[in-house]
Amino acid sequence: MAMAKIETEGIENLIRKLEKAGGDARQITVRLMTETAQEISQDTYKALQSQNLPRAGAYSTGKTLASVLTDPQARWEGDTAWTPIGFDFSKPGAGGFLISGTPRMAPDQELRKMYKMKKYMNEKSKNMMEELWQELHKELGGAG
Amino acid sequence: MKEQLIAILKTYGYPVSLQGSYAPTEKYPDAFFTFWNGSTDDAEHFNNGPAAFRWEFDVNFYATDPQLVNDTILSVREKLIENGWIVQGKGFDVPVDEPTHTGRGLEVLFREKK
Repeated sequence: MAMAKIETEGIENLIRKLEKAGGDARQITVRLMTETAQEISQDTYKALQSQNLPRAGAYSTGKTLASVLTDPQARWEGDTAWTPIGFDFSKPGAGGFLISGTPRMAPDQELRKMYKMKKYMNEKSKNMMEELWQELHKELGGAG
Repeated sequence: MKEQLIAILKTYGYPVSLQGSYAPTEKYPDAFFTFWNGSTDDAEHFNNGPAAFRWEFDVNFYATDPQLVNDTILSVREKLIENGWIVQGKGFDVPVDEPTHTGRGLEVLFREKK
């Protein structure tokens, strides 16, 4: 499945300080990252509801919808937090086809923008990091 | 820029067409290109207007021979770079809806001055 990873570079010190002070930076990170992954799932569902899907939406029901991650959960692995996003490609569905298209089917523009072009995911990541920074900072009482 | 891209791809001697333009029951050639122009954004502005454009394309190559797919996409990458295109990486696998074929794609950009 397509996976997003949060980069802890730049905020590692903040996380360490908060953990030293007894706060739970990791839990805050997981919560915000999970919320972001769930927003991405919601945007994906919206794109799959569109009447403008290629081939008159023939791929928008059943298996494709069922392959969208309904409850993505972020987790830590060592010093890196990550979350699965979007489609579970281990399930049958046409998510991959909709993103890249096939010679018989144009790509879905909305899904292509979300999963192939960098702007959407960069914005999601940036917003999440800003919110994380603010929350961590607030937990530390504005210090650090 | 679309015309230039198509002209470059046609030098390989395989059919070149827009992604999605094959009919539902149309048989695929043994080897062929498709392309898709995802966006043409303003790249810079001058005097309240665009001074350059950023063209973004997917270029896909499908074939019944996986080695041909790998080799051709790498060759296309070099040729596009020689012609002033920006190519991100060395390509990626693309899903194909026929078990007889495999495919690889490139994300390619061109900065066109107005």
